[in-house]
Amino acid sequence: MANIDFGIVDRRSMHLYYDKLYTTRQKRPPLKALTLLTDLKVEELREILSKRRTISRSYTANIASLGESLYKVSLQRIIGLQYIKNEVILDAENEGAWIILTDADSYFITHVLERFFEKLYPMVSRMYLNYSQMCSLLENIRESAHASTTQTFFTIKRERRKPTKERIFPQKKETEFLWGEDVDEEISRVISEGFIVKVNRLDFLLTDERNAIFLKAQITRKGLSKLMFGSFSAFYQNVVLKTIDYGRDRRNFYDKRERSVDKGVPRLHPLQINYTVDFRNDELSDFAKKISASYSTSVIHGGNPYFVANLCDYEDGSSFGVAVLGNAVTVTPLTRATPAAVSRLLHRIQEIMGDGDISSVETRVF
Amino acid sequence: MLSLLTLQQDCVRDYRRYADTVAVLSAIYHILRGTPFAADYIGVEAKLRNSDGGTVTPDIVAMYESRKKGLVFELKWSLPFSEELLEKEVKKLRKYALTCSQWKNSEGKVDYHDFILICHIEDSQRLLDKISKIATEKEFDFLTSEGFAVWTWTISAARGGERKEHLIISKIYGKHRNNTIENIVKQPTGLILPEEALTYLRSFFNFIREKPPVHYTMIMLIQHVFSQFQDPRRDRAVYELTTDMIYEKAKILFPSWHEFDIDTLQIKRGWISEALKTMFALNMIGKPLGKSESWLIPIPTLRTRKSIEYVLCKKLSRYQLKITKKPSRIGRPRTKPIKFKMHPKMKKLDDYL
Repeated sequence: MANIDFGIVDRRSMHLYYDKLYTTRQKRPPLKALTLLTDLKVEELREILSKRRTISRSYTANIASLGESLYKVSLQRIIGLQYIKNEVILDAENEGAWIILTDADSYFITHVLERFFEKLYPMVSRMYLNYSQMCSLLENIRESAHASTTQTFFTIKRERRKPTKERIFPQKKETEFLWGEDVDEEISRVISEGFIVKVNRLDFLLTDERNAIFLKAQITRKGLSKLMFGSFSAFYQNVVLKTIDYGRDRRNFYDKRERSVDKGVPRLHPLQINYTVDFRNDELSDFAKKISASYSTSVIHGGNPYFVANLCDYEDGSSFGVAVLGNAVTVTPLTRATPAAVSRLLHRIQEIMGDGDISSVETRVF
Repeated sequence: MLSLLTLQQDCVRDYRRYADTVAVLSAIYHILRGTPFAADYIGVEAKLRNSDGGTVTPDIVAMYESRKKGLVFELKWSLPFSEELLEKEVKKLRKYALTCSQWKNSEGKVDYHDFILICHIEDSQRLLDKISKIATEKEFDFLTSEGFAVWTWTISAARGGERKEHLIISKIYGKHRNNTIENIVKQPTGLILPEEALTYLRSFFNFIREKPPVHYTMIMLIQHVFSQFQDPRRDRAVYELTTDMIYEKAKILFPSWHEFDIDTLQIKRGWISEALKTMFALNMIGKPLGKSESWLIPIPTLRTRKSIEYVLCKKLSRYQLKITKKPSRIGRPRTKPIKFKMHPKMKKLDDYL
């Protein structure tokens, strides 16, 4: 169990400690920085936990302030008869975002830390990235660090599209590494072989003008950045803060998209996820089943081969119209649509259908 | 009596048919707004006064030829299967064909107007049969005159990757006098509506003028209205809401609300009230004691891994079967009737009188 009672008492000591730890060549668990988008104050967390029985039943969070918007959070979850406990640093300095820093093991990250903050949705939302967004973020990181990247590789999850005749159950998910910064062709190849592709994480090395490696890091699909080697300050400035900036941009892009009525004329602000191949009937019926499991769904056309449904987010109350036609999924935010709910829905759709290109649909204004 | 499965299937079909008819309304609205050379869009659910002194509220009203001529669209999401009811429905259409006495334009009065009825292709044959019968009656000769047309809509199926699905409108009966629109619709392929009609445009409107099936309103309330009251800081909770509060939030779902008069507002409010009462009958929501216009609504109201229309239609069908089922007596009565035997020494009642 990682312990952070080693002298992190303020922001400066935190930087010094992690700088020292990750600039020495030694095998150790990477430092994880979980990026969360929220307008919540850390002090409000206690009140929310008291209101949400579903969280407080199995999680305990003790928050101690270290000053300068830095907090030490002791997080515990009961899983079966076990208590899984660890301490993390919560950095709330950046407006509209929290950064959770820890070098705890991946079991704690997956089963306690990520779950806890996922349960705080919609007040706290995760940052979701697909392939094209990861590429844009990498470009931003390069620009910010005035560096170039080497040994870049994407880890993808591929899942075979359901064959129409031979049905294999359960569908096998496979992992593949795609080397390079631009793997469009490689992804197209995998898709043409009949797979659904989701980019899971991106590993990269940042090198300076003398070709010396100064940072080895990773960004994942769900906004978790990892520092394997290098200066913490450089990681914080160039990776973590750039991820937050990118997240804020995305949030603005998803904001104010609900259906409105202006002088009796309805206004819509739909979004589209575009793919390179058309969807098949069985994929659409599969989509209907999977999306109904996590959203309140009323299906108007069930996918033969056109799918239309109205969706409502149980936790947030945001509602959407979703249509799948040809090679595109159109998401139309309806009566209420928070950026967190839009982002989560787009992520969920891409989890089922694979990564696509998200764009705004230009509607005609009368 | 219909089986539970049949009732459920009909219920789901009705929900989908209504939703598709709303999509057709949105598509026509979009075309009229986007192609002003064909006709000038005037309004959705605009009120017109006809020569009978009554008022009509068609789904869409437009004008053409320098606003000298009118165009009226009426959408029917479903037509009755009963011959008698269908006849009644067709006869009711007369009110749209009558001269609109107070329909004015900038230069004076509108010369005349055309009336287009739009229905689903499955209802078209029954409708045409009925029209041909009724048209023989002198009172309903508008059915054969120029200026009345029937259009149908359907969603085309894609063929082996050749083309995508489309929402197609085709003319099946009559003729109207707007040549631009007439020429487009009378083509063998019909009027192929833009792809957006099947994707985001269908969210433009949520209701047509005709009353929706009650479960359609219920789904609209659950997904788009109740969720607006949800406090994201809390877990699933029960909220006390009045019909007025719900109705205020639901206003955004109805087209051109600001133009509506009291009667129309009451009609729409009635749909919401009916949906709330049905939900109460299905034990989905509660009612606080002594407050007639208040409801206790759990939000999220219906949590299921299946699609909501199936779950709701199953509940509704079960309820419908329960209330229509006659109580039957099976087996012998549980108690024996008491037989009264008079003792020979007992006096008869007559002796006292």
